Amino acid sequence: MTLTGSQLRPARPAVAAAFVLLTAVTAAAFVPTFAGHVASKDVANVDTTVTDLELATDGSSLAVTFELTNPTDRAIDVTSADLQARAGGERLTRIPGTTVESVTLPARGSRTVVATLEVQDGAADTVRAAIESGDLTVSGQFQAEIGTESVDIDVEGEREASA
Amino acid sequence: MSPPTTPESDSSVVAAVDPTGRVAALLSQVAPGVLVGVVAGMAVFLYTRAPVLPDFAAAWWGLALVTAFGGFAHLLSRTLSGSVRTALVAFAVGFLFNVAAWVAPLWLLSYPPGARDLLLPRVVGRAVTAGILVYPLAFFGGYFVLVVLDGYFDI
Repeated sequence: MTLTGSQLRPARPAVAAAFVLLTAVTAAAFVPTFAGHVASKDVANVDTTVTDLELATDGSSLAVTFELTNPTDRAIDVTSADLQARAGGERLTRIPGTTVESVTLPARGSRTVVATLEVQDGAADTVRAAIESGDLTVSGQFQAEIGTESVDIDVEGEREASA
Repeated sequence: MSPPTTPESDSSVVAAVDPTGRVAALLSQVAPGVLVGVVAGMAVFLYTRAPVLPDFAAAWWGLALVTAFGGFAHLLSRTLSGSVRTALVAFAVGFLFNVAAWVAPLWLLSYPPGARDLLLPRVVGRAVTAGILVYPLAFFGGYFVLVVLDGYFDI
């Protein structure tokens, strides 16, 4: 039997130490990567609750306050949004016209995000009435990133949640 | 080539379950390959799912680690035949580990009935194609470099 020179034995602790070190590095990177992999498939379950709707005094913009809850084990970076407000099937805000501040949803945590939508010309009164009656729904999506992977968080016809 | 030696065991339980010692011998032969394969599989996953790496890890880590573990398949073996066995077992285990990590969310998350059957072939396909070229090159690249260096310089 051919014996090669390299044998793992106490005389060669450097080989064992190097293997243990690289295993530790690999495992340390694998755990959050796997969490990110699972999170990228679980992003549809991010909870998007609308907690407040506020029309600007001049009627030009609508501020929608969201409570975003991340159910995954990885942080999700919200970067932008495309949202529309509707009432009775009629779209009341411009496309594109959503501005949102960048925010990071921590793993298994919540953040408040305010999205500002541009109201269409002449629709301010309809928006005001729809907010009053609770008929205003917000739908669209937030664009987000897990690591450098782009994911979308869908918002499907959210109404203002009763306090 | 002499047949592999059977490890001695004092345990009567082991002797009762495995009287000829073949199971123990087989386990001791494939154990290094399985060990190296699992960590190599984690490293392949770092490469095939590089977009969701944590901030502290760089995209090249996966390939560098796969190459290194290919080398360790040789370094952790006592004989040349053991080295070949460890490398082949580790390569196969690493491949399967990567695919398993890709499809794991299908069971970790709740999917509607039928969706799993629909998604499984597609996810397996993506997992396989993501590493099919680079994984063998990196793993056996690292392995053969160590075999050649060891054979020539007797390190």
